[in-house]
Amino acid sequence: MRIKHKSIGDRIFELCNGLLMIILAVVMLYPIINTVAVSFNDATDTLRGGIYIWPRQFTWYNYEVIWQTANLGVAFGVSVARTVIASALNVFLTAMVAYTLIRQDFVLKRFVTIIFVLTMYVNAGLIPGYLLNKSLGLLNNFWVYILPGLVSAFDLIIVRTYMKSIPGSLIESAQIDGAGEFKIFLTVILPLATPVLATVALFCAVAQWNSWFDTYIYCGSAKNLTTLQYELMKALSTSMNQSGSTANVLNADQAANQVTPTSIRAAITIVAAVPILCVYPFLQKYFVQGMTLGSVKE
Amino acid sequence: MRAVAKTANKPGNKKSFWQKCLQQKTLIFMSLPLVLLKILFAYVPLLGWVMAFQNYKPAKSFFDQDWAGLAKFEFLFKDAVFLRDIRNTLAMSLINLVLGFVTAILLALLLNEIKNVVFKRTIQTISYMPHFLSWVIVAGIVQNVLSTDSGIVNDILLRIGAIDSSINFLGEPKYFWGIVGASNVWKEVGWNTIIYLASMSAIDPSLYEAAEMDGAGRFNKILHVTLPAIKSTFIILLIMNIGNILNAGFEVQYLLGNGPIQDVSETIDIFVLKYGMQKNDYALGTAAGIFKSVISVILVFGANWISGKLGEDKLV
Amino acid sequence: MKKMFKRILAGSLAAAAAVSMTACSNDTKTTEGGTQKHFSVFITGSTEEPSDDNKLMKKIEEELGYTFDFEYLVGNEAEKVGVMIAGGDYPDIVSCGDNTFVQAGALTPLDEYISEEKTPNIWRHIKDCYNKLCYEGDGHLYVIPAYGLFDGPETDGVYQGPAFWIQKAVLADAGYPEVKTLDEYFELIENYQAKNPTINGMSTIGFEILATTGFEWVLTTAPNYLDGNPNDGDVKVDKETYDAEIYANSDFAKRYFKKLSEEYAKGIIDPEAFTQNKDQYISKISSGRVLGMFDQHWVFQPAEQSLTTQQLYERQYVPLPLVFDEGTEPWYRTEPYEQVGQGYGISVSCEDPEAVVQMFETFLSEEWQKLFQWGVEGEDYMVDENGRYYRTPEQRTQQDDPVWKAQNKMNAFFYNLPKIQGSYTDGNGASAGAQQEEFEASLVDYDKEFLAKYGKKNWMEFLNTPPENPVYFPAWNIDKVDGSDADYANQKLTDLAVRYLPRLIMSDAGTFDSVWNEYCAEIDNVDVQAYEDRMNEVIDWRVENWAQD
Repeated sequence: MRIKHKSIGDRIFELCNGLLMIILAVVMLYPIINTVAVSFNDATDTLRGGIYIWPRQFTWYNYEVIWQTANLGVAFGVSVARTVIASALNVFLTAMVAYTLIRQDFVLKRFVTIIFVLTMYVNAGLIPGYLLNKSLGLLNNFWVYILPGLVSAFDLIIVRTYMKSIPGSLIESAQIDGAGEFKIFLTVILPLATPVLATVALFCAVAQWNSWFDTYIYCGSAKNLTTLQYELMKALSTSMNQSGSTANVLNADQAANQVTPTSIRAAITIVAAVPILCVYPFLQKYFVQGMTLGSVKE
Repeated sequence: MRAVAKTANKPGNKKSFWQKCLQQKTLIFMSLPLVLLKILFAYVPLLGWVMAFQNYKPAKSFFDQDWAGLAKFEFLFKDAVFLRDIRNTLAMSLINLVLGFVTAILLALLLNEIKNVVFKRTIQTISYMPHFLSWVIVAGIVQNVLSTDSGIVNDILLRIGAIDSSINFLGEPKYFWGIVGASNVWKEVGWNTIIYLASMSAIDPSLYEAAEMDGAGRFNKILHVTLPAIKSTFIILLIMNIGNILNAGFEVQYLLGNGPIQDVSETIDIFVLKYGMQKNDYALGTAAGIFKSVISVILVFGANWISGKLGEDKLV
Repeated sequence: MKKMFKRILAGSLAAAAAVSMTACSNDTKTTEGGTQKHFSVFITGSTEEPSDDNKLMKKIEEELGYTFDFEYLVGNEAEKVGVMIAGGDYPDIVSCGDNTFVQAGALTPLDEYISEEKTPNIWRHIKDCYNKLCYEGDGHLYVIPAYGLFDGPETDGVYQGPAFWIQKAVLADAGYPEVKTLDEYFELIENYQAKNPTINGMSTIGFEILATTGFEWVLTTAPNYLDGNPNDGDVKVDKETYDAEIYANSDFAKRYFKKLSEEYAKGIIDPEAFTQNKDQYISKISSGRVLGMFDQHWVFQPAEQSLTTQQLYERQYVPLPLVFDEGTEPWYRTEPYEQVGQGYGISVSCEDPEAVVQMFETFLSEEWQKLFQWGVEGEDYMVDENGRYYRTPEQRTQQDDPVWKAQNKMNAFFYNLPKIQGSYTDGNGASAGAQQEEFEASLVDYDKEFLAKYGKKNWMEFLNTPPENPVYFPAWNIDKVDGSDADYANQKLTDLAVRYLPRLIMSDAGTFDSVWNEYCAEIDNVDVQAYEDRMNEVIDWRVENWAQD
């Protein structure tokens, strides 16, 4: 956008807005900085409280414990694999289904929409889901991370809503040119939906990256299918047990500890968040590419 | 846009259903397999809902269970505590719904007004970071901030003379819903703006230019260009979220709740956790789940219908 | 793509079948008894995973040939165990905390594999209490308890159980008095707080209460101890008739909360007590400004650790077995008792239960117990000229190091194994914690002087001398049967306590009685009878079946 002249009102607004955003950023950043500070502070010292934005007794030890005790190498690989594969599949398939739903004349439009929408509000619970996955042979199987959640209804609706804003005339003219449905989807719609697809990719990537429960329930005994978050949860769980949350600690050996759940939790949060946080700025650049749409649209 | 679709429809209007299917086989091929996948993974397990009517024991198959009829539902709805928890859940999710939407849209609009790209991206990235903290961490920070014992909020209020003695914010029922609402905003507002920012990116810049030429100021441009552009996203999200009105979450309430404020802090999910999951009673959780599903579906389709009547976008 | 759809189609057919699936689908492959060497193990209680090059694990593989696949409990136990049972597939060895697995028919009875000839170590370990360990439902033995079976007297120097705790500084300041009653205890605290309104620059907290979720028992169980009763959970069991009764609405409970509300009014109790989380509780204790609390030691152990590193030894705590009235015999510390039902069970999926029992048998030998508990001689501990085991300061420190532990200990696996507690036949303590010399070596000068003033050798001696346990003891571990009326009544009572007790303590003298009456009226609405009936039923059963002949 080109603005040639700014009024005084504009300048005041921009100044206030900028200040507001900075205050907001400080408020939003505080919990992160606090977590970082706790993660780099001596665990026993942290117990005293009063750690705000800077560690009082600096140490790498919390990270060292995680690094040494959790099975991070394999876990990182599996986490990356599931995140990449699931995000790519989801983005493509979600866009594909969403495309069929913006075709006003599609006979199954309502049926498909209802089937998807209802999945957001019905939940069978853990045991029936487990029995299903077990009978499909998905226990200790990489695909249990991908298949059950493929194409989420929420993402689908978001993409559909966005695609609806793409002028129908584009589809129409492609049809006149003799393009098939799949080709129209690939060459006309998919490129124009980039911003919303970046959003879906982000949602999916974050959900995949942060997921540990499926590893726990479905792949708990498969060492080569362990995920980063699961290993980190295990490290956290270890520190909790060590600080004596079990009722029958009978000797002091077991109750003694040098890491605490608080410190380990802070450290695993950082370990888990840093890689995925790097993804966002990379996706952000697709959010300003509304220009593409403007240039196509007449 | 609707007019466009109609003209495209014209030739097919009078064909039979099967003829249309044949004609649209590509579209069907593009969507039906995933529908089947959803049916498999989301609907087939729903057969497990029968357990809500049984004294379910996981060691036996669904057919070998003792039938309990409606006993699980009776257990829920005869308990004044559960009814109280429904109220709490509704109250907190309504607060979350309203606060969540207002703050996310407001933040998205303000971010959109920032001209400096680097500054804008930095703020945006920072604002969505708290999403990556677990509730345990966020609740811990909230508890420290609100503590009567050197908590920063009480400290500031005391210093500016707004209060005479520290307020035990987490011990007073009247503050709790507000605290939960504010914590949710703090944690999720940045994350929630992402969708709006994505839909704003679809705005044709020429619309702003045209508005500018008509002499529209900043406020008018927001009102007449930006907001209409995100309206359909907003409405669709609203309809979808209305269906989640019985899901107020449970972690934050579980972590921040305590004895003196139990009457306002306990949600449906906490009740189910205490009386179902922790007692290996899977049927109770299923019964509560069925109840929530039924209410959700009614609300979603209700909201969808109203939206249609008002001439707005529809979810289905 | 097409292949995938075929799979999905096949899957949906299978899914329909899944719903009718039965649990007991274990393989019937047979292996010759006692030859299996590789086991899958479901581990709870600890997730301290041994590293791949773990010293002990290697030794086990080299000397005995055993290898393991471990699966850990990371989240909610009910969820994990629930799907395991529903799916019907179990690891060979499963950790049991209660009767869930037994009731689901997931465990193999061990009776036929255990005898004096086949398993001398296990037999010697459990023969005196065999009948206690059997599942009350069918009289079979399923789980050999991991804890509570002692050889020789309990020799730990540090007390982990429940007590009223008081800062050493408070006792020192008052001239090392003997404290017996609750009134004396609060008097000491009041006096000290009046003299020392701040500690280390922060305001002094006279009495702290942890009341967060999961720690409801801190408030509810204290009165029972004050009344002179042992740890029977939320019932008082008559010492003559063994009649169990809840005491939530008893006069002595009222007396305790009345006292607390008086102290609250005096500003002795932390006003934030009922809203704080456990981290805040620990942080206050770690700062050294909390004079006393009722708690079990393991809960605030991390805070003591912090005080140690700050060298604030006078701010650490001494346990006191308080009673209401002088003349009542306190019963805080009890004789050790079997933790029935907690330990490893062998699942029905295991093809060779005998091999597992034989492995337990080997591990229960003194040789392996020493390796698990003390470690390798010369590396993890030393032996002096009298044959006594001790650790060098470096060896002591590394015991706490998580990284070192992952490489050298197998605590997660050992946690639920049957184990020797007390002492070995050579007189050494079962673990370092049970070795008196090791305890003494851990004492700093302040503690030595402090103990000398009281003429005591260790902290354990501040507690009562435990009388013999009643036959049924303890009532706290009685299975309330998930989903029964007794179970719901129990949950309701806890909910009421959580709601009313803070109000009660914060109420002033004028309103205390009306709040108390309201609380009692609510308790009357609960099906207390169902709960007490269940408790009495099991107590009667135990008296009949557990009595030694």
